[in-house]
Amino acid sequence: MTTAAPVTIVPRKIKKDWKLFWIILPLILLVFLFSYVPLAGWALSLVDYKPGYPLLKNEWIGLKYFQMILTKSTTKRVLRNTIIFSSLDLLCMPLPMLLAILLNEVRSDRFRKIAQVVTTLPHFISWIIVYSLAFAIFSSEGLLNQVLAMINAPGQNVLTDKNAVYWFQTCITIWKSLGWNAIIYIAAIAGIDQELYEAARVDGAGRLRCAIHITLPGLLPTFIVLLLLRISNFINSGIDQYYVFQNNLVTRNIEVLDLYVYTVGLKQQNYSYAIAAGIMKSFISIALLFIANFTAKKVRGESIV
Amino acid sequence: MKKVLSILLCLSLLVSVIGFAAADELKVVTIGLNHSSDLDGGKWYSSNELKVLQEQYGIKIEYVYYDSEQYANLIAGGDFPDIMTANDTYLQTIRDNNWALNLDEYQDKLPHVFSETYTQTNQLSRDLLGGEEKKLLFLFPGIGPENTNGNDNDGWGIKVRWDLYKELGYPEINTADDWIQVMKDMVALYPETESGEKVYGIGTWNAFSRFYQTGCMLVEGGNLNPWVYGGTMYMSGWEDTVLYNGYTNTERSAYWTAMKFFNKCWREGLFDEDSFVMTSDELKAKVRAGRYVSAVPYEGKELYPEVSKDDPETLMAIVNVGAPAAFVFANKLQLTGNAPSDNLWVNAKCKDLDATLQVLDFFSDPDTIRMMYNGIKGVDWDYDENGKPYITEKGLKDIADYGRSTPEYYEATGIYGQICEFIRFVDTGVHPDGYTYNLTETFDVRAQTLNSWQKDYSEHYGVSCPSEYLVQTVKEGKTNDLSNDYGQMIALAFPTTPTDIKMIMDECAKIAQEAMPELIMAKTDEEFEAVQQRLFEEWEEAGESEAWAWAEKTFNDAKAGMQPVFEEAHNAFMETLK
Repeated sequence: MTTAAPVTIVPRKIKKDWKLFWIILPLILLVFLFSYVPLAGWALSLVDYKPGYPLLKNEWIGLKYFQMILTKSTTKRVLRNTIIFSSLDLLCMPLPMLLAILLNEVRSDRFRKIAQVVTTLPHFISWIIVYSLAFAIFSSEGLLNQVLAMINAPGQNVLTDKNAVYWFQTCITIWKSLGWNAIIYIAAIAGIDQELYEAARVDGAGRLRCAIHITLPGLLPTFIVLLLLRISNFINSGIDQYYVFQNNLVTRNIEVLDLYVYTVGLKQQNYSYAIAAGIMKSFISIALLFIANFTAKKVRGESIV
Repeated sequence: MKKVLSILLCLSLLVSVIGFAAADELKVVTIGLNHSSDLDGGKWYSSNELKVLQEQYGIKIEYVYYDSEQYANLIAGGDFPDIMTANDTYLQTIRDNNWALNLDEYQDKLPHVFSETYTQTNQLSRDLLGGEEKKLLFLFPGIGPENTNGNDNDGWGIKVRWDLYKELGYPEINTADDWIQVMKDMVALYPETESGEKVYGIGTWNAFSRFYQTGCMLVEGGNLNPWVYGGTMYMSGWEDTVLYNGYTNTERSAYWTAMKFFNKCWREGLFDEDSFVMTSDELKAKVRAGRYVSAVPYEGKELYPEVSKDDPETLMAIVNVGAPAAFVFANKLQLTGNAPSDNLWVNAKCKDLDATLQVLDFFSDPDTIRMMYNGIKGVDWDYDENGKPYITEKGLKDIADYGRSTPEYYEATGIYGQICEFIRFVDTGVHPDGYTYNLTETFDVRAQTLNSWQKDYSEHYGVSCPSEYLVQTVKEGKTNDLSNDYGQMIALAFPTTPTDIKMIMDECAKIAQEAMPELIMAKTDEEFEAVQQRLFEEWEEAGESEAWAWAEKTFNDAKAGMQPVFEEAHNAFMETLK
């Protein structure tokens, strides 16, 4: 994030800072090789690509798949699911920040460390294991229903309830990512000048006021950056979570765009269609990034681009 | 100490060098297989033919499995193992790129491949898959008359718990409704397991195929073959080889038959709702725990081995009762093998052509096939003084000790194992000596290796083994007759499906799969019909009628070409069944 004028690289500066340039060159090459060179594959969206045939030997179809994506009812459904999940994710964005603030206020070092480890640990569990745990707890014969049966309460099966999909998946995402996402806020809190807290205490501010008037404003720039990045990834929900939790009962509500592209592109082997969907996703993401960046610049004077 | 360590290090280096040198003497041939099927976690068994190849021919086989996504990557890359199985989607691609070796040019190196045994199938391959030049590019595995002796543990059929079925007095099952009633009565007898868990009538895992396969065998008017347009609801009748639209023709539809059947099961409280979320392993665990009294196709086998560990005389097994409404997989004439995705081809750029062709010819040798099914001649089987092959005492004991077709059996005997993927002839194909390849699957061998439920079953029906009873029901016309079917052969003659049509077919299958829970758990007929009506509209919107028009025309055009070929072979086959 910057408010200064953009830095332009000129040959004189490269000559002067050639060591820095050489350090960054491998990274630039990496980004170029793995992010820009594959863009040549976008050409496959304009042909009916069949593996095993050179590009020019495939039938030219132009923008047919782009039109198909825009008109299919399935696209509307998966976009709806993606927007809902991403919106819920955005709404829950302040939670890691809140956790970081709460952890910062904990006096006991030992408890703080334990709490941080416990909340961060789920991040390292793969989604396959998470599903197995969820199945053991929430399936029709899982722990939850066994307990409910013991107290003569009606059984629940959230794994197969399509009405529970949105909130249940959001809760699992929060459980899995809360601690990990709080780390960056904890680091940001560590960077706030401690003299501000001392000055506030001298002025009679309690812990709550310090948190509201010092910690929170100190975290806002970090929050804005993460928010902008999250908005630019608004239609990139990921696939792992939704892939393992999908089943015939909930698929209409859980199938997001990334999962749909995987199903059509890889499982059904319609690569051209999947690439067309991916291209549209990229353009939408870039547009969202610039819109959000522009808005942030106008409102707070801060931007990342 | 240092001297001792140095000596040990030198020795170990020497041994490893010798090992590498020895390994270097073996020629390596790689074989790529297209799908993992039901094989035991992808584990490779050290079967007899692999040992023979290594010891007698100095050739080591390395296998690799490819699922459909990996296969597509392979096709895109163009770098293949020496021998591959052919995914039917890419047969034309393989031909157009000249990736497959024209085997006709190597007849001198392939005496068994070009023997009289394979003359008919080789010519079929040239005609169907050889392109304009009619080259021999692909070889069919799994040819011959399949299951003429039936199967003691049939994957198909109306399967119920044998002990409970006996307790109920062997009620006749003529229709799907009869099956549901029998399940109800069984659950009433056995509502909970010993550990207090609920017992269901039936359940499956979250695979679309298991649902519609159940429908395939319950369709009134004749069962349906699901392997013509695999994964879609366009299926041909086993007996009339007419293609039916299982989406819109609700009377001749595996899908609608299955949905109605499972809906009735659900309303009776017999259907396990976890079927929509379970994996295959989870289902098998439930089967082992005795949670079901019946099973869908290919499932239910795990119960008996589990229970018989503690009680070898148990009758607690889920078995095919050969009900009139059932389905018996017997007497299927496979002229072009079981599935287009199993066809073998040789990489034209394989590393060691001589070794590769040697392997191909070795696997086509009738004696190799006999070994793959029965074990080592003179040890597991032999010829008697009249030249009739028989299973030895050791062979019979192995079957009794380890059970047939179990991982323990493969490990102990080196028989069968993973090689079943591309074995050239089916079990009951006929060796040039005039007897079936698989000697262990004859009625008399089966009769000598019956387990507890099989003995009881055979006694009840007055036969030597369960498969004899099942084949009897076929011969008496009480159940289906697969001998007229040539659906997979017709499928082999299909052109590559156009992308548009494939997208429609995939979309329609997806719609059907996603709607299953709503249909199966519909509380009333009105609710069921409302969902049905919605599906008709969704399929229409997806363009199903266009896909059907293409599929039906393609099927009928291919059938017209295959019919005379099949009929000639079929007539000869029927003579052998008499």
